[in-house]
Amino acid sequence: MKKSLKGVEYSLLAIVMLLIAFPFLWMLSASFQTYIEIIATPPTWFPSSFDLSNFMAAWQSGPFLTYTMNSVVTTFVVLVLQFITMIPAAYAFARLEFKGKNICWSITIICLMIPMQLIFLPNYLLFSQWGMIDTYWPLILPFATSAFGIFMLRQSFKQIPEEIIESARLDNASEWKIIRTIFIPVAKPTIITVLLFTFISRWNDYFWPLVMTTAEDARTLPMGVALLRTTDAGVPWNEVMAANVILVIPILIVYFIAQDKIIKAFTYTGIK
Amino acid sequence: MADVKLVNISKDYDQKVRKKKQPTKKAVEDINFVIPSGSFTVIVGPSGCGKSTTLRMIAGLEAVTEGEVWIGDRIVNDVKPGDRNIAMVFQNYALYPTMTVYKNISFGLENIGVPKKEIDARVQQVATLVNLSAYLDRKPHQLSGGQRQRVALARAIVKRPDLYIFDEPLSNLDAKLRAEMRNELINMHKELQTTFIYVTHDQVEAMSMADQIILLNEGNVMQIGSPMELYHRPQNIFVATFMGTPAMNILPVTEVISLVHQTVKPGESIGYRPEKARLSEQPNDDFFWVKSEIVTTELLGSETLYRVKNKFGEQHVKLTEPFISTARDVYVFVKHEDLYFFDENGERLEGVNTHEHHQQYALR
Repeated sequence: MKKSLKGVEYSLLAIVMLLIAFPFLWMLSASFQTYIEIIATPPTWFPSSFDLSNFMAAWQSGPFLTYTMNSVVTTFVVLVLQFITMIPAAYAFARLEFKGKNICWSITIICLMIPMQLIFLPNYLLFSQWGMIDTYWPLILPFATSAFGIFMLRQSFKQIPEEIIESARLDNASEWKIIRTIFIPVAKPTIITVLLFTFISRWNDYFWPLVMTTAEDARTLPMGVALLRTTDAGVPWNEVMAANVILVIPILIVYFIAQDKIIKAFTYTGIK
Repeated sequence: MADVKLVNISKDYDQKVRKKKQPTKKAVEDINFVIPSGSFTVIVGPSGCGKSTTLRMIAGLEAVTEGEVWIGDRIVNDVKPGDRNIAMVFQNYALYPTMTVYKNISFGLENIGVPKKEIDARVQQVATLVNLSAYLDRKPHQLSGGQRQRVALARAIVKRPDLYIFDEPLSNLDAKLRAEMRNELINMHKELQTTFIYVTHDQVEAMSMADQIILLNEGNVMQIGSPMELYHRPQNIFVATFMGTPAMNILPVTEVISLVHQTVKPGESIGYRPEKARLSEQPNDDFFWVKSEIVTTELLGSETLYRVKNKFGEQHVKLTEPFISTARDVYVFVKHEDLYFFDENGERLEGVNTHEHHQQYALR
């Protein structure tokens, strides 16, 4: 009985895994195929050779180094800013009593629910009035803090028993020291997970940079990849896929490093 | 070393709410007591009696609504908890989960800028004292309950405070470990010669460890005194029934009862401790006796506990020798000097015959 259940479990897992992994594997395969292979019917599953010519072609089709730099800088600055803003905000919501706490918290929750498509226009107008279009600012400032991150961190801060904080106060620790030495270490998995989500959404974001940038040298990597498709001679799918691989690799690397922390953040049950 | 003095202390948790609505009960109401320097004082009471609130006000974790908290010669109402030079041991240990045992112990010293070398020496010394030297690199979740308790103790001792505060520190331990830790705490108090304030709901803990007990109920002080004083000379029914297991039997009086030395009026009550009563098949007029029947018998090994029923209700009788009888009616009898009398408000009637006798008890 148990054995057969295990079998069912594993086959279900295998199906789900295949569904998720298939597009990735096809992208990887396509990135090595020639143009002839890629437009062939039935589709080619395995490329005839594994040379990097598609990658070179994609990279050289535009100022990809600039795109990459833009992506790296804006994403990194956003991550740093979120780390700085999220933790004190979550601490205040979780642990301090102050006037207007409920209103502030409601606003934070509302922020969580407003879709980006609703606010891009006023945001655009604001940044254009400030003369900031085609700079890094519109790609950084709206993401300087994260309502989702504050929400998640607050939950994880709330799990810390009050006595531990009282203990620290009796041990002459300042509020900052308590945050640094008790809250951040306990909430580490959550912090890493939230920042990882931010990293993925910023790194992959296409819509926001599309609206906020018009000049070539302010564009980010996803836009560069998309631009590959706007050629007159038909879309070179093999090169697009190669560019996509370039785009995805950093995410995969980061994910593999932070894997166990992410699982911890969602299975975290509290403190013994 | 310092006395702790509470002067007219009140704590009102919902003061703001109070102004709008009708008054509700305060958590702690106008309590006064002194905890002498070097004493082992246990604050005891049923849950919700305000004992933890009182303790937390002494520690500075809870603001005082009214009154003054004195530690030594200063009022500490507005002094931060960290600056009161006290150490607290919590019920759930409250160890820092991500720090090693060493870091847990040294944390408080680091925060007040003790030199690294001295911290190390003090941590090692305290770790030896509480048998934790082998575990300094472990994290709290790798320790057993007893070991965690010891870390919490070490963390308190290492600070060399003027005052140790314990908030039900043993209630998470099993019975055997609890008894061991009780002894360790008594020894620790002897060695450190510092003031201990200990909160518990367990009167056995209070009796066995305290040299002064403060018994609270519903935010008010019921009685302050040594364990024997509270046991032998309770000021009211609450104290009488709280101290001692099983509790003192209270017999409500509905008609005038004439005893050798006095008359008990309706509304008053008579009390006697289960261990002071005896059972017999015949009444004996030298004693206070009640015709009863035995409801249940519990054999506890060294003693036997009887539940008896009579015109006053049900009571407990505890005997060291089992009472074997086939008679339907038995007689509970108690020496006159072992009786307690309470007025209709539950206050003990002092000055009746038992008073002098019990004073002798307390001194003996």
